[in-house]
Amino acid sequence: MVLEDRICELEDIDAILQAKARFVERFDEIVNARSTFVSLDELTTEDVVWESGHFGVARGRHQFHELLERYRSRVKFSLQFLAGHDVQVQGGRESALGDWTVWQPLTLDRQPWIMAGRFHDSFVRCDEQWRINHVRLTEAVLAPWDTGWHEPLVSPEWPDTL
Amino acid sequence: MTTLEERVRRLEKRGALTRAMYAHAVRCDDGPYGLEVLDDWTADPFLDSGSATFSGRENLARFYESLPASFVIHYFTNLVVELDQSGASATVRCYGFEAATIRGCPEVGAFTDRFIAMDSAGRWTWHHWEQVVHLDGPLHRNDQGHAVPKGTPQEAQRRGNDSGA
Repeated sequence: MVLEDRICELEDIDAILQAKARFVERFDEIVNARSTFVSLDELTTEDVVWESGHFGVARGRHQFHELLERYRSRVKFSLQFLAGHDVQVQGGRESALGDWTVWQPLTLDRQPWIMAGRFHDSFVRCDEQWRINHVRLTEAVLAPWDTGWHEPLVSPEWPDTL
Repeated sequence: MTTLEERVRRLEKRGALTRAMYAHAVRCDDGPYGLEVLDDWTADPFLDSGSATFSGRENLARFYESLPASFVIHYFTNLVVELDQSGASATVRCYGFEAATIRGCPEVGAFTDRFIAMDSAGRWTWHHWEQVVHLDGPLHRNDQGHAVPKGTPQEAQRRGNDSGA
């Protein structure tokens, strides 16, 4: 790989890390009632997919907006702490995959909860900007803060749907 | 046209800023809040802690000295770094989490931070820092909502309750 390509890859990885951090920041701002949906649209593709085992699934921006409305109607506080990233830019610099570990304190129906899991995301490059086009969240722990986690790691107290 | 040299320089600056943030967390933890942490700030710093504001190094020193934690460990994550065109300053946003011991009780805090960082001769320092406190309080509360001190019968009882004993 020539020097310029190596630098491009480092810039791409940095831009994707920034895009993911901005995405969860704005997601949390929406939940914490400090933002609008417009700011998240700037970071996603029109056909964005957001899916998780216990928070719901959305295909496309319209469904994603609906999911966010349901989410923030019950979740009044959220901070998604990201760590342990692994970003791989695909050949041609048109797409990329990114994994993160997430730890998230949240308030559901006025009760404090802890979620820990992993994001497995994909990104595409549009007009020189990296956008998220698929978020897949796998929850490992979903437990009331007060009682903590034990088997089963996803508490039966968690609702079937948001 | 940005040269390869300039692009590498900006990547290096972003990397250095990230490392400086992590080093700042360690310096906050040492002591905790030993006054060496002032070395991470510019000559004329400003801090909005979320509950009060502090201007200048003397007031910042008084703020650090007033913090009651006997132990603390900080985690800074989710860094969003916006370097200015010259690379001499940056606007940074991040998340912060801390686990602390205060007056014998385990406590936790979660924050979002926004600050201006200045590059002075290759070293990043903080100039203007605004913090929003989202979560701050005891890890465990008793039935009256009060913090449960570590190593007390109440804590042992609580652990027993948690384990189903």
